[in-house]
Amino acid sequence: MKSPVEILRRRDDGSVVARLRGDIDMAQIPKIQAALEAALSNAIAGLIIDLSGVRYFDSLGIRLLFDVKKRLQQRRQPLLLVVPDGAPIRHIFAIVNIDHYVQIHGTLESARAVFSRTAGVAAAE
Amino acid sequence: VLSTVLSHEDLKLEFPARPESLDRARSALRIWLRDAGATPEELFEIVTVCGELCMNTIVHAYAADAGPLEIQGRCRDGEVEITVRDRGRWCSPRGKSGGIGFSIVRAMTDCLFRHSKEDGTEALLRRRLKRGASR
Repeated sequence: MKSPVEILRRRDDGSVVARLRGDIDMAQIPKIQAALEAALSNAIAGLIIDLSGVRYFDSLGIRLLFDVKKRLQQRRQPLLLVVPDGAPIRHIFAIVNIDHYVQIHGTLESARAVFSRTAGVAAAE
Repeated sequence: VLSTVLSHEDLKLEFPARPESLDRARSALRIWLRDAGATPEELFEIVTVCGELCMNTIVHAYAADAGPLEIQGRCRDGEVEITVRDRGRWCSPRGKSGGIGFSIVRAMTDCLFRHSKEDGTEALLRRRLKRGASR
């Protein structure tokens, strides 16, 4: 079975992109937790969780996002989500008001631009 | 009298109450709902609600060995009725996702009942499909 998560490290801006795909349920969560555990460190600029390829997402997944957010917040590392505008899972995010806690972008490009800007500012200083 | 035209095959599934069963349960449910005439939005919401109910069963119903998780569906006159049933005894500690799952379920169903009996717990959800309303 294909892994439900792929981790991409960006050397240019120091961010990490975790791309989730398919149906994310109870059976997939431990694999995602382990992959994130391995990818997150003090050194990263922040994390983008890309949910563009996700068809099913449930309350356990939402719980995971809140946990990751809490963890990153302690180190002042931003967490951004990518959920395309028309995606059905947007409905779940709206129900739980996750946008009050986490920035949601419609595309990966838009989320990445946040880190490129930050990296640009840091380089200019 | 025309109601029989709108009815279609009932759904009957049984899986071991384990996380690995969720994927197969969703696949079967999606096919069944598509045949029942659910729109993509309805399909997404009903599958999501059933997923939460099944997860509850997996977390709460059986202490050690996973017993059966039963899903039954019927569609009559454009109204879908799905029952998620277990044969266990609910252990009370709330699931890891606590109130989040409940919020999702509440927002996406017209009607939901749950009752525990001696021989297990049953959750029943009802949802009127748009297709049914238009006929």
